Amino acid sequence: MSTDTLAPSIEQSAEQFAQTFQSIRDEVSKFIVGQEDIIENVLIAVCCGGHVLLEGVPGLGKTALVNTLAQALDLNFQRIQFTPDLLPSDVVGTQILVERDGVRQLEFQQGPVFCNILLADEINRATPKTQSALLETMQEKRVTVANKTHPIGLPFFVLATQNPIENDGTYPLPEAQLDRFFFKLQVELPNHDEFTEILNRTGGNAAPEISAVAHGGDIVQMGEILRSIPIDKDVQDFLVKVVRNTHPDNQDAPDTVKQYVRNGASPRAAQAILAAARARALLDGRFHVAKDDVSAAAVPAMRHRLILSFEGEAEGIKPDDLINAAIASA
Amino acid sequence: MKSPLELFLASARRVLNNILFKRWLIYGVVGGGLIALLFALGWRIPGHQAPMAGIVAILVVGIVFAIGCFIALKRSDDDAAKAADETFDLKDSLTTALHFGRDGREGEIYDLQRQQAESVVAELNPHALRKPMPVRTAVIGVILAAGAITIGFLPASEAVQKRQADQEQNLSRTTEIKRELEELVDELVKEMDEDEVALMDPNELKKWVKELKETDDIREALRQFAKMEQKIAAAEKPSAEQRREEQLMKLAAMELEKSEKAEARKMGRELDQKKFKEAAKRLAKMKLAQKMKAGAMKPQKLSDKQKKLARLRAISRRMAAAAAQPNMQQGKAGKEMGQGNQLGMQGMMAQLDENAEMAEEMLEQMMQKGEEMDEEELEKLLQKMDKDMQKLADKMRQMNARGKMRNRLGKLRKALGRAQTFAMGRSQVLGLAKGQGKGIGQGSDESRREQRDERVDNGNNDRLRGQKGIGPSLTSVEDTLDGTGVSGRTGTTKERSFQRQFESFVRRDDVPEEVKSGVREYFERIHQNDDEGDE
Repeated sequence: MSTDTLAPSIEQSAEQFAQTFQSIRDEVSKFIVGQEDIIENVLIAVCCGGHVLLEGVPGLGKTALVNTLAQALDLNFQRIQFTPDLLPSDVVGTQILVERDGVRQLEFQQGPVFCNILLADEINRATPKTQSALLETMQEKRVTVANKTHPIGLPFFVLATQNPIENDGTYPLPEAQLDRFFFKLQVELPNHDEFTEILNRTGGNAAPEISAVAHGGDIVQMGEILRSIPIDKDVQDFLVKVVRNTHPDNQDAPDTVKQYVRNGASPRAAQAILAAARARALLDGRFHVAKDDVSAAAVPAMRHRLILSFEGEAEGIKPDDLINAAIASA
Repeated sequence: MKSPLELFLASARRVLNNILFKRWLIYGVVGGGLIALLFALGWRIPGHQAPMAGIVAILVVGIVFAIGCFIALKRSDDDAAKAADETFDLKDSLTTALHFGRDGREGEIYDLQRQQAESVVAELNPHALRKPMPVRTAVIGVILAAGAITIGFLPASEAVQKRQADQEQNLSRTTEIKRELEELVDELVKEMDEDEVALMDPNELKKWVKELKETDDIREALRQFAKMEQKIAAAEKPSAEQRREEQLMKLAAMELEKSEKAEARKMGRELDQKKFKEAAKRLAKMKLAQKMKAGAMKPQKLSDKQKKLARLRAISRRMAAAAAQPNMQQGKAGKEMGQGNQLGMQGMMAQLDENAEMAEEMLEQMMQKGEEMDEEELEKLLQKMDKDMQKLADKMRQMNARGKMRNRLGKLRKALGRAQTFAMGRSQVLGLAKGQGKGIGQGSDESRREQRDERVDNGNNDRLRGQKGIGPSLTSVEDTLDGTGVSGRTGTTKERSFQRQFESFVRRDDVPEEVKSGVREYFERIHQNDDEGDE
């Protein structure tokens, strides 16, 4: 249904969304082998304006993914390697004494957060103080130093990584701060064919060239269009039930949740699920959110938001299983 | 004009409701068939015929219930949309479009969504929503229903038919028994005189019969008869005082029969034959008191009085002697028997004799000395004696009434016995009221015993035939108007033999009077002549 107005119609915008998304995905896939789900979810999070926590063993291409994404989106990319001695000022910036026109004055030196895409490598290795400095920036999208606020340009995404092994000397992110991440994605080991392809692509002298297929403004527009996708009351009820069923004190929660969960997901998780479900609907070429979209978005959106009980941790219960049980009982 | 979406949903709804209706119908047949089969078996296993109406009603109810469930669970457009979304994997497209339309949501995005849904349904066939019917379940349902109906056609077992026939017979017999007992009681009540009515309320008899209920249970009927028999026995049973009075009358009869005076002997016979009413009349006739003017006691009159007194004295002396016998003194003293301050019969007899003796002496004196005795005193004494005689006569009348009442109750008890026999099927005719049953002497006396087949028992063929007690015989007893129903010579011979034995027993000296009177009472009761009570 095209219109003659200057503003593109929703249908056009939806087509544009799908095309842009696909082109970004294709471009990233030139360099990153496999990990289609990871790429898709990262892009969805980016379109929804959310931050992502990537968990995986070293060498799986997490940094490469973020780097490639930044190139494909023509966005300013920065990387911070978190270490225990990293200071908050190393992240957000600090004031330094400079001499200008013979006058010594304090000037704010921007930290690496002043970018569009920030890769926070091994975020759990930094001290809680440094972690909180970054996480505050993620939430507020601005930095306050010496009572002066410095906004961070949009779009701004943080893709943080965690190593699931080597937990000695780490500072696990507190639950309140984990909640700020839109998605938590688990990067798996590639299969045999993927391994082979990785070697083929990166073993030679020439590396695939990544060109910018979209820009920050496109991302912002994509975020706007997906927010216009409506959701039926039944589907919304389903979404709410899924989130509420992760709470052990809820009567309708499955027995496993009641047994192994200490705290369930917050309304922020529901917001993340809704946004991601809308994106999925658009990607599927639909103008409505379906329950399948909600189910697909629920696991990455809630796996880091469930706090397991002692019994759950002792039993080695996976949050993904609990979330699937909550979906089944909704 | 309906939209393609609405048209599709309407078709889908029809398809789903069609499936639902057939399913529920099948469930209804299965459920109804199962219950009907259990119902039919519940009748059949004990041997009864299962009522076809019940079986059909259960099946119909099952189907109606199923239709009701279908109506309650009928599919709506929402259900159709949901089913189509799931079947065709439309990702909630139809459900969303339906709800957006219903909510009246407008806007480009909603139009796009609806158009998308409509373009999808244009290529869909609602009949693809059909699911396979549960054929196996349907077959099971039909088998169950057919099984139940088949069982409904089977007749009741022989045992049950016989039991039902017995129950019908019991009911009709108990109805007949109750009716005839009511008629009998009405007859008995009509015949009761005022003395008997004073003894027993006729309504009480009617009430006993009214309490009998028609029943098809023979045991219940026999229980009721036994209960009524207990009441009759309780009413028949004389109290201790009554027993003593009867014993006293017997002794008085024996004493009076020894008297030299004819009148006394007559009275003795009357007492012996329990003609207490006649004896009372005789006694009442012997009243002596007469209102006379002062000085009117002429010698002639005195002489008449003396003669009368002598006749009375002959009776009172014997009575007093009977009352004074040692076995009549057991328990309380004779003069103290009776209720309250009233004297018992013993006391009355003794007092009558005392007063008679005193009167005799007074008269003797008046006759001999010719003095002017206190006529008033004599008259008072005579009046007192008259009162005593009247009381004694009243007592005798009471005893007479009791005897008659006992006879009536005996009749009722016999009738009840016949009713029991009739209820148990051992006799074919009830005939409780008068005019029913066979006449006296018209019953048969025949006995038969079927020959035993020894070969069945042990295969021994060497048994002698024709030995006494082994050959076939037949015994049957038919009811007659009254009596024992035995009208043959054997019974009469036996009766005579019993009577001779009884008479020789009664004459023995070494047997206490109490025992003799008890034996006599027993034989009199079992050989009671019904006509005695009617006089």
